[in-house]
Amino acid sequence: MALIQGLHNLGKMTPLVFKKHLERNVVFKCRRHVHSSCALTAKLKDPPSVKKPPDGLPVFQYIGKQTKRVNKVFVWGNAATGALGIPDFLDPPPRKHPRMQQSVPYCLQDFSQEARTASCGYGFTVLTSSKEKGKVWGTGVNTESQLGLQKAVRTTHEGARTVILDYVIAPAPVDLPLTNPQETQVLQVACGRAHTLILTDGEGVFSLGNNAYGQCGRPVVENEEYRGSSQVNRVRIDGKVKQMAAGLDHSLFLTEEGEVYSCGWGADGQTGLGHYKSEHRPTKLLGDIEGEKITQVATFADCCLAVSEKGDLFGWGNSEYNQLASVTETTQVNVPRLLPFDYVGKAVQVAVGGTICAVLNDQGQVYVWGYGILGKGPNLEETPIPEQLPEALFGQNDFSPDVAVKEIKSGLNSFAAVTTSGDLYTWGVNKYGCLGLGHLNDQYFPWRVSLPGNVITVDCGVDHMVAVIKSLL
Amino acid sequence: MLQTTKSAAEVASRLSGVFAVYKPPGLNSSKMIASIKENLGKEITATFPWEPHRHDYRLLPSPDDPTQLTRVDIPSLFKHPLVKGHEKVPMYCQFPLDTLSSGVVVLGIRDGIKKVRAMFDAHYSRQYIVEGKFGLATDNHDASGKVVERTTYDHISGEKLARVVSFLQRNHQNLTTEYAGVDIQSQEAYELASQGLLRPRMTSPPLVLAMRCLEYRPPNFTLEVQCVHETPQWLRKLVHDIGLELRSTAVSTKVRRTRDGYFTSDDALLIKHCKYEFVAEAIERSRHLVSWKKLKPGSNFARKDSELKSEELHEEDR
Repeated sequence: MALIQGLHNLGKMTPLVFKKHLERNVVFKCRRHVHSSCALTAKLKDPPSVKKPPDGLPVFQYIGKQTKRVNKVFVWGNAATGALGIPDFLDPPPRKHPRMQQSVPYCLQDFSQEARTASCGYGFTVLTSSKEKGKVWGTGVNTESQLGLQKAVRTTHEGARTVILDYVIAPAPVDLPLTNPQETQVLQVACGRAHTLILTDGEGVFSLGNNAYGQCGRPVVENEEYRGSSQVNRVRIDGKVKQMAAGLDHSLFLTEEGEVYSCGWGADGQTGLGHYKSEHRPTKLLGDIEGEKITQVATFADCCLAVSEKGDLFGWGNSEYNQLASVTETTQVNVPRLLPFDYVGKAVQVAVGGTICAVLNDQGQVYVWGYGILGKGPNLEETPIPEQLPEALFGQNDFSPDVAVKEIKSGLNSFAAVTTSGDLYTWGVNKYGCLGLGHLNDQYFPWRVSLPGNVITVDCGVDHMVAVIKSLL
Repeated sequence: MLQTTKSAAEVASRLSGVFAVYKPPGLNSSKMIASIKENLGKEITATFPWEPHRHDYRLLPSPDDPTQLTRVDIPSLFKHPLVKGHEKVPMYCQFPLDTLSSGVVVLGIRDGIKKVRAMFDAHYSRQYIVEGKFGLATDNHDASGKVVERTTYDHISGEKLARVVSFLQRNHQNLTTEYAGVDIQSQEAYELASQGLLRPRMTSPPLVLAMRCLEYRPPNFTLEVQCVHETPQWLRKLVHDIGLELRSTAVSTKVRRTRDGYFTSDDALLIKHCKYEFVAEAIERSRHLVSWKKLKPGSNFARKDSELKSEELHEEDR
């Protein structure tokens, strides 16, 4: 009866009374069944605080306070010629296979500390170091003595005998006839197909290797035997040389006055001397660059580019792939010509490969033209006028808006660019993994190479690359 | 405030959408969600009056004449809160935070659950403020763990820290493009890369999209990290890795999520504000952040607002 009475009351209850009734019950139920009450703050633990380490624990020191950053040399690409300078690749330890290509950057351990610059030729590499003994080191193909006379003692059952090394598989010092080896520093090295040019600060330019067309800057000797030759030639040039570039079989020298000298093979007009003959005497270039102060010259095969202090571009040599189509309809230009690329802005650096050209302006923007993988995707195969590569490809984004390219280099069919953040970007034909991206596929736009440090300089060969980097710590 | 004409059940069923809550440290994500669910349900039940949804009748002896039966209408208690319990609010969270971390947690209610799940497929990035301390290594990479090693850190300068942080970030940047879901040798890959839009669009390991050092006061440092597919513990591991890269050790002292997809900490409600009134308002406010257009696979968070607007205009034209 009481229940029935209760139900009666419930039916007659006003909403307000019922609400109070409900609240009481809800709170009660909440306390009884549910562990999480309305008071959330009560449940919060104290915020995590840093615990004091126990005093007995030793303190480890992994690096000293005064540790300086060191240089490191990284190499990748075709290893079969020995140009990578890693002896274990071609002469492996027991139960290891020889390695003919290296698609990931590999540290050149023994050489790293003192390395300064590097230059890659056709299957060989020349490195400069700050070591007192041996300022220039070479590795790779030496069939034409482009690395100087390299000998080794080989012991057989008949006794010990000296052999001439055609292939050097670890960096070996290149002997230079320096008069003051204590103070003279090597500033730059340039490598061609089979010759090497070495620039020193006080003693001029030295040349080694093949001189079949006069590219070493000395008279051509008929039927000269280059293998096993120890001849190092001192190149005679009127001014003081500031920078050099070596092409297939020709050489370019830039003096501090901004004049360009050239010697070597001129069949495509790559010497820029107004004829298609070979020239063994370094001769001053005329044409459009006369009177201009040139700041950089570049060549790789048989097309040459130069950039002046005003930011103008000049080109001469081969134009079979429309590298110079803006100024000529023929396939060869034998005199430097001004390239009418005003929209590029003020050019500061140029790079030229076999069929590809690139220019860097003072804004850090890269423009490319020519034929091949230019870096604007697979659709752009050929263009006679420069096209800009978007800055986002070189790591410019909202987090790092100031990143710009500071150096560009070109191999035969590939490009390399170093940014102000110390990154290396490569793109182009990936023969033997020479882009260092860890695979053998061609790369159609700039892609960052993983290197453990900030890149100082890079150089590209036909099928290998060398980078000098500075460690992070 | 609340319309008294609605019933609690109706109100609870109409609450649906996505909103963000700021989780304090010292509380597990799932516990936080459980308590928000319960408090919200209780509040709705308590605030909106119960009204019987139908009436039953009984034949009872008449008070006048006990021998006669009369019909008495009584309300059905079938849906009474004391019988049924408080109103249930289904809630779901796709990217929870663990006890030690704090920050924005995006919650979906009812239909919002689908959208929160779609946020996973859209591969949005999240932003964190991570604080660390050099000189210690603990068993769980957090400062609250057991110390296993002490190291020196006097060689670390702000410049070195910035160098290592940007180095790690650039290493990750290369990896992100591998999970972009396009053939890297295609023109499409170039087009995306030239706009800076090559970013993960498929399941990937945790990846840093951008990272920078905000402050370094030895031994404490603060990082700002934008990443995808991460967990708070992975960020602590990242701090540990930075320590190792600098030839020292580091533990994380704080992991705070400041942005989850489009939701920033400004959009997030405090737990004490997880009341019906504020939640409903927050859902309305953030409805444009989780439109299906933004959530469709392939839409990109890295795209700027202006681009999104122009895209929408183009779509309207069509």
